[in-house]
Amino acid sequence: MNATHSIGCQTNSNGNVGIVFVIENDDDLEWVLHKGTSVPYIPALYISYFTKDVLLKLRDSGRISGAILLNSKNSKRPDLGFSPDKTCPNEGFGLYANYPQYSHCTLNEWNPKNPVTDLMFIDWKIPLYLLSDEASIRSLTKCFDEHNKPNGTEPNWPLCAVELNSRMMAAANSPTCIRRSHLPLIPLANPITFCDPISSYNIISTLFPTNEKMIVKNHSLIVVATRLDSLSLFQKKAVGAYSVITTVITLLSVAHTLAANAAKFSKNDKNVLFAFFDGENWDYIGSSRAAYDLKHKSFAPIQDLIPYYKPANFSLEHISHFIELNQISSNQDTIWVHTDPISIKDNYVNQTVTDLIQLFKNKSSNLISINRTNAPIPLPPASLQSFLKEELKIPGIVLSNFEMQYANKYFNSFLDFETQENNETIRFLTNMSTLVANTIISLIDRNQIDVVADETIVKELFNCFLINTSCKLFKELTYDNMPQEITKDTSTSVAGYTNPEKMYEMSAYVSIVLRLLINFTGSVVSHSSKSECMNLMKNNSSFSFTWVGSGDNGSCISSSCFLTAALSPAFLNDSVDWKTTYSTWTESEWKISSARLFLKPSFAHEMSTLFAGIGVFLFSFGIVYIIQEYIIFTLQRNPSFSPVREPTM
Amino acid sequence: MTVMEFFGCGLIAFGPPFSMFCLTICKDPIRIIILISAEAEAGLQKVSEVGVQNPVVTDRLTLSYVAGLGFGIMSGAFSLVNVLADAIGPGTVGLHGDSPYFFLASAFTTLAFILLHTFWGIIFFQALDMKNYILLAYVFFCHLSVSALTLFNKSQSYAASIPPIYIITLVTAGLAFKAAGGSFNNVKAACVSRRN
Repeated sequence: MNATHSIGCQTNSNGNVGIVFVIENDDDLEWVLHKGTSVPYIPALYISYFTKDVLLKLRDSGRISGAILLNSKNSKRPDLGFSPDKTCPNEGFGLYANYPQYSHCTLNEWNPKNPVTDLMFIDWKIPLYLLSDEASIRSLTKCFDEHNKPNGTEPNWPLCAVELNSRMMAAANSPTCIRRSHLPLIPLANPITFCDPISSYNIISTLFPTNEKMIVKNHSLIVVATRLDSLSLFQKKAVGAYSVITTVITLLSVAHTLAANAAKFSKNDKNVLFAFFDGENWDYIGSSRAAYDLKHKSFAPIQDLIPYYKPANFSLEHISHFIELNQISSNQDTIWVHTDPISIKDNYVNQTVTDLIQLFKNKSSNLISINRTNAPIPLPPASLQSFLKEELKIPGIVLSNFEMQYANKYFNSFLDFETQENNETIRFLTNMSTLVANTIISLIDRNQIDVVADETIVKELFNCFLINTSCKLFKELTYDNMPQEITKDTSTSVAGYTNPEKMYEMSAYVSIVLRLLINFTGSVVSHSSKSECMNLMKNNSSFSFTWVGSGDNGSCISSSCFLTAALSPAFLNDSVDWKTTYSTWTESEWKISSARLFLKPSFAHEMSTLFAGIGVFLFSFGIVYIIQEYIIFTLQRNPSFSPVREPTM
Repeated sequence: MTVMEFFGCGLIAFGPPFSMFCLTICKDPIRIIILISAEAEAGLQKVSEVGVQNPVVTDRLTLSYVAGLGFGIMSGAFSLVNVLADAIGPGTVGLHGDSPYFFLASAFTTLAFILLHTFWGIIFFQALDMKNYILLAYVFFCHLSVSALTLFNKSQSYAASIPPIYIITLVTAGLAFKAAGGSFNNVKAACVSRRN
């Protein structure tokens, strides 16, 4: 929910029941829409019928109480694309909200129109389920074939039905549910809440260590940023392979390459800040908060998680360059550079941006071709927008694999996954990280040092994130009571975690990226036991110390990594300003979703059972009355059944 | 949505015992106590009903009837409660090709068992009272055979189990009536007195 709307799916408190109907052709659709009489139905659709038009038609007919998408893991992805996001993601937020000539993608729509456009942002009021397990699909279709399939006429009862249950506690919109959550009720140990602001963590690290007392010069900080999160219509199905993961891998590899060669750079005042922003798909939650904090000089690690590390107090004026990586993956070895038409009206910004692009072109060594998009086109949805919104004098570029429209047909959907090692992509990501690393080195050090990114690392990251999460690299990360199974869930979606009891609940994915960044950019403190590591942590505020290992076996790593809150600035005050230009998305509290398949008896069958019961009861009442009144009466006159014992009175 | 099935089956199985309870037991608190706990007999004798005609604790017929019905209701409740709990859900039986008459069959079988326990109670009391070992043996074997008949339910041969069970129930009802001192004459007399 946001300030004005709610989106998504939900059921009644006891679940929605409907007759299963597997839709394979237009006749089946017609049957559900008009002919069939056993309403409500729950149609089960294959992906070719799972489109916005069909689903809206079904919902508006009032004859369905839910819908199921049947899509086994091996089935082919639709050629027309499948991206339930808007054609203009995050429209109405970011930099261009106040510039009518650019807002709402007037000049260019980024996400190509496809059959499921906007599906994510419709208030369905009915449940939409995904069934991807082959055995479940088989039992559902078998049940339909045996009981429900009409042969021109209505099939006989009992019919195969399904019950879908996923109750959402909140209603209407964010203001309503936040107000309800704050009603003066009896103080309980676990306060009742209906929704929580969507929130997560930004993962931040600097190339060179900083400390509290350090004075950072203006225009000395190069920010290299990307987003962490993707979306999916279905819970825990947001892999986001080419939407975000390949880009996150690239930035991790850039950080790794730069950190590995940091000792070679001549010391100067420049520094690099690596930033992974989370919640970006929900109107730039992570980046808007980071930019807000930098503007208000309150950009600092979360106290409760990182109590001792105190990095320098950065602010927006410190930023010299902002390089954002956005959907980096091989698209004919071409990278498009997006710039913002408003900020480059300033000469300094324009010059810096032009120089930066030229530097990229010089460093690309023909492996990657760098092209700048045409002038009037504004930035695509990007974290840079949040920074420019707070301060227009930041020279920034967005690098991506698309020019005018996303190259990824499955952007932000459950189909954005990868099943096999894609060597072309791995090589491209390696080249890309080499390029970004070398460009950054040129910005911080006049002496030209050429570095090369490690392809084996990129390959390992690619395999771990996308193909097999139980890999060696991830296993090494499962310290600190983090169970190994948890790394299996690398869902990149964000959720509402802001409730005090749930605070600091971190998704496995965020935790994995943080630990990878610590491993890649940190250095091992030699000969340090766990207790020594803890002491270092408490007494040294210029590094973040992490004990990597289980129990006393492990090593102490010092790094400059920290977490900042990715909670929209709109929720910072107790009284939320709902007309804010920051994200107001909240997630409703929900119960675990479930689905049950069973046979539903006909109404006539149910009625006959009920009347049989009532009949038996009334009949027995009559019989017992007759026996009691007339027959027992005659018995008692001549009892053959005499008491054997006299009362002992 | 099968709340209707729930009430239907519940009324089939527990409707007749409920009628018996309403008409024959609930007017006397001592009978209710015995219905629930038949072992309270000795204690109840000490606080027994002074001046009441046919006090329960001394009237073996009533005692056996009430105790038997109590035992029957408890056994019925235990055997049907799981089925009823499932019946209240949205679906019915039959997804894996099972009979849709499962609920009805369960309810009627339970009803037969409640009635049988009542009759067995009466016969057993009298048999022990009179040292009539044939009747005693009848109760044993009758129980055994009726229980064995329910094994047909497993293969959904309800026609093979329910009619025989009800025939046995009727025969046992007759025996119980006789054990309670009744005879065909009583029934005739009752019919006559009713007509008058």
